[in-house]
Amino acid sequence: MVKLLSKIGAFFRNVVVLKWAVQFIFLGGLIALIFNYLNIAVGNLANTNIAFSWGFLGETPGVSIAEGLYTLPKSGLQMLQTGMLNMLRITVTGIVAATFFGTILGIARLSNNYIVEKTATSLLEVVRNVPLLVQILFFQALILSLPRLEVYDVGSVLFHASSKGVALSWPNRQDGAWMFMLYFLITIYISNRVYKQRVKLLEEEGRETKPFLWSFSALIILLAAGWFGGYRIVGIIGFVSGFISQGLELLPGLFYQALLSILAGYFSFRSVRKQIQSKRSGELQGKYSDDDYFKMIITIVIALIFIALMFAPVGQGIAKFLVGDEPTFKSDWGLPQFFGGISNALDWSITGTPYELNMAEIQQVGTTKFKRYSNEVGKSLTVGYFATWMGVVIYTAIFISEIVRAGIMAVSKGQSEAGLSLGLRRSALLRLIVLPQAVRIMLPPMGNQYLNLAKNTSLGIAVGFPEVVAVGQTLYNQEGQTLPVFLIWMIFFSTVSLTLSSIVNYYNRKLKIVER
Amino acid sequence: MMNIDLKKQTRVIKENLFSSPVSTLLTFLTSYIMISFFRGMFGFATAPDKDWLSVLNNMQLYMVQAYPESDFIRIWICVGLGFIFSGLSVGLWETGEKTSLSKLCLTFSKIIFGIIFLTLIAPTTSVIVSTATGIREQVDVFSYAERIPLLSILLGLLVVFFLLSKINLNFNKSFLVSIYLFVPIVFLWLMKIPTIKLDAENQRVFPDPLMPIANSTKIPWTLIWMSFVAAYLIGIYFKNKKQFKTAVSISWVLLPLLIFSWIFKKPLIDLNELIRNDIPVFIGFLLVGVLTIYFINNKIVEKFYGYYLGLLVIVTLASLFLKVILLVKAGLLLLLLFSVIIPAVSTSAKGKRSLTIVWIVSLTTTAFLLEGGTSTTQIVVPGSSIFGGFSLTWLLAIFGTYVSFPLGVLLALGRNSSLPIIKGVCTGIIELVRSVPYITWLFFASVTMAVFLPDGVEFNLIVRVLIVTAFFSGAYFAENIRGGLQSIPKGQFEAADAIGMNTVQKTSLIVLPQALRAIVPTLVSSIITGFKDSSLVTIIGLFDFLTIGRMVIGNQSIPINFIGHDRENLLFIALVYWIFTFTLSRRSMKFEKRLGLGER
Repeated sequence: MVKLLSKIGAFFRNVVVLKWAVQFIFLGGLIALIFNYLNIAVGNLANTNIAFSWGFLGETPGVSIAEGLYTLPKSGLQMLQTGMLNMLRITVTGIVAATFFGTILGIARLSNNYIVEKTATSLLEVVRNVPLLVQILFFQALILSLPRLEVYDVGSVLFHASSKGVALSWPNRQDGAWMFMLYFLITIYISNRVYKQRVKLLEEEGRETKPFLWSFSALIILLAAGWFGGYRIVGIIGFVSGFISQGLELLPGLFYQALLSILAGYFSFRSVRKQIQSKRSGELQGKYSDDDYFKMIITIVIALIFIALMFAPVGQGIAKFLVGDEPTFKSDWGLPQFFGGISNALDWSITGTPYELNMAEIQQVGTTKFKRYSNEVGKSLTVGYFATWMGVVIYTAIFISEIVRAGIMAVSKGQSEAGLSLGLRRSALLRLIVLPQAVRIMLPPMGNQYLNLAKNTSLGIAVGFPEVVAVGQTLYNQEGQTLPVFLIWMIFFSTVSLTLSSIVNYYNRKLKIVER
Repeated sequence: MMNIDLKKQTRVIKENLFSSPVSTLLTFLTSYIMISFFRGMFGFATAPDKDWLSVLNNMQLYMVQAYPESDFIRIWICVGLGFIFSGLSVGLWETGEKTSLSKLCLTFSKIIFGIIFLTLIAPTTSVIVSTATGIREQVDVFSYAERIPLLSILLGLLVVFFLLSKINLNFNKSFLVSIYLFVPIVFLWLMKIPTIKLDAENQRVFPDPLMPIANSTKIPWTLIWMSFVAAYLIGIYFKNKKQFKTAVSISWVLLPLLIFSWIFKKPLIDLNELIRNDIPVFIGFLLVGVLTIYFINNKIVEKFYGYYLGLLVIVTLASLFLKVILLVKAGLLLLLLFSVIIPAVSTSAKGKRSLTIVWIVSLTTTAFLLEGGTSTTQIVVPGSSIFGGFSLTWLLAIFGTYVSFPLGVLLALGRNSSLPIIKGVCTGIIELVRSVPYITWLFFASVTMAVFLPDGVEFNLIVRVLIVTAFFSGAYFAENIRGGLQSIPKGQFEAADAIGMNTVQKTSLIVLPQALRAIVPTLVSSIITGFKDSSLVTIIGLFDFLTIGRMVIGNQSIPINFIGHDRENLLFIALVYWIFTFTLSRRSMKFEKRLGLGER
């Protein structure tokens, strides 16, 4: 008896046991806490007659959005899509612009010229120390204080500003724009190949092959050919996808269920085979630890669960969605529709130049005396968009300038001296020695700033720019579903952050020093 | 000073501005941009359609929103306490650097030269949008005739400073703060500003009559300045007293708590209750604690200490469920915590003394906070809270930091822990919180959080915002602190292990002090970000500093309305935020230098 007691005592004094016991108690407490609050939430929601549901995504919200893809959304989903697209619009253009201005400012802060350096520094100190929201509101107030469009409709060919917003000349998409875009990507790929080919030739034969000149002229020639009708060659893809679409229409839902199951089985098989193979060589020959068995079993179990799910209602739902016969959230979403869309966009019977440069027109609104900028031609930036964009870009550019400055200063002086002693010109020194090393230091904090920019676009709500948070707020004011909207925000922002950080990480890995 | 080496100056200018054709071009281009920017801003600010009285006339609203005027003495005390402690700190931590009057005069002369230059290049006209036609038109703003008096005053000051610079006088560099603060005080007494005056029919009298600043503003500020100087001198006097320094640093931590819970709130205290219950309870706890500290080494006490602790645990737990006054519960908890710590710390007489001080301070603070915080306030404010305007901004910034910093430390330690579940949970919390923008969390506080609260429990919106802010900035603090934790070399951990420290000792004595010291700059920038981010609460409708300027002032009705003067107010708000954040960041840079960061 005593022996047993002392054994139990020893068991509870064991560090490993204690460690895990504490953790499980913590986890249990946490789960209990969360469960408790969720219970309260469910009860409260039931009491107020707004039970948690995703139904609002399909219902017509009955509100209009100031700008974006659907100004009169037919469903909650379309409304959120509009908000997300608006947010992405600012994020993507903002990142490009902020990087550009930030780099210029960062170099200006390193300038030998006293006035340039002091100007850049004072701009930095002003922008960095004022809340972004105040800046955005100030830009809004500035635009709103301009003359009204009705009295002040004389503008230049390129630029026009009034209390309605800012209008610019802009290359407007024509019918062939999608095809040209794809063509453009293909051209870039080809010129890249040309560059690599010439570099290879240079390395093999040791003669000057002018890789940059070659690839650049290839790009120009191909683009010129494409602009005047050559882009229609991309229509082949559209033609093929039309066939694919028709073929996919014939397939039943069961096909997708089977396909996904086979894929899951294949991947789990491959993963297990890889684990077995990794043990087959070297000293570990055929020796499996418990951990390895555990991993293999888990892989197989996950695959089996996945296959089982594929033939459960979940899998049938996914298959139905992919077939696209029944409208989900008021529109057909399936694979045939997807390929059909591609074949419509890439139709080789389209002619004409892909883009046309237009200035935004000033139109009468209906029969009223009010005027507005047209949406169809040219580019008009609404007050909300302009204020948010300006605020976010300047604010981020300032932080990027600090990063650029720190990055360039962190490259040790010996590096540039070594480059100079090799007889490199200043431009070549900057391009070949300083910048590649500086970029390596700059990238991770730069990625952080991009994330901040993406999150800061949510301040557009203060100036009436319908980005995802503003749209979500309108939506839950309409429907009362605060929790689902909050979850959508969370998922959306996480996706954007993950995408951005994986892009940055990709370049980071690519630029990392390869050590022996 | 007067023999300026002309050749040397020309060379310096040539090197800095005209070293190459590109540099020359850049110099002219940037100067042109800067000058036209200044001219634009100046024209913008002085154009007749701007009404700066919309800012000046609403200063009270900006600072405290609807706080009743009869209780303004409390706010003056708050501000005064802040200044007194700043004065003490400046005096106590002064480095002994010397500066001379002539140097100071040189600085002032440079500023005056700058102002003269700006006055000369200021524009004479400005463009406004006419209210009648809606078309842009030019108006005169600042004619050359108007500049002559200003220029003559500036030149006179220049002569005064030149004469003053002849006096040979040296003083401590830290004294400069008092001098810089003296300048606005002088302006307060000398300046006359336009004031809004209403006639018999409640119409605004044009032009606005010039009047001196009200005594209710001038006199408190002068008194505050005087107490600042006095505190500075006291600080210098006690410079070498270490206890005094410790007391002041602790006061900096406790001061905001005191201000918000006691001075700002004007608690309604039942004197009868206080004498009958609270004071005896307080003295009782005080005695028990002190006695425990002093008799801890006694043989008999040592023998029965375990039983005493057990009893204390049971009594404390019981008190939590019994109906006793809050002070008893808090006191018992504190006593329990203290009794657990005592045997581990107190051995020598010196240790006992410092423990006693800690005990008295912590018990007094708790009692004070409970008295002030739990009692109802006597200040009646229309609307939801007595905090509004700048006081709300400060409340959010300070308490956001207060709550989120410890949370951030805990999360960072959790994320760095070797226990996988705790690590996973902490990582999850940090990433979840950081994944969405602050504004969505504010919406969570204002609309969604109520869903999660049990029936009958309701929090004020400010409290909900504080909870959310604690988590949000806590997650960011945690990431910063994690960076600091990673910067500690492995040898430190191994050394701590080698002398037999346990995890708690290792963390609190070896790891955290080094980690926190390494990240002072990032922590300060996080605090600045928190201060700036507090402006976002305007979107969910709290009446903070920004909301006052953006919404409240524009919506004032008869007799005075300031519709359409957003830009002036926004510029003023930006200026105020700028002054505070800029000062904070400059101070932190100096502090870093003193800590010797980045010099190893």
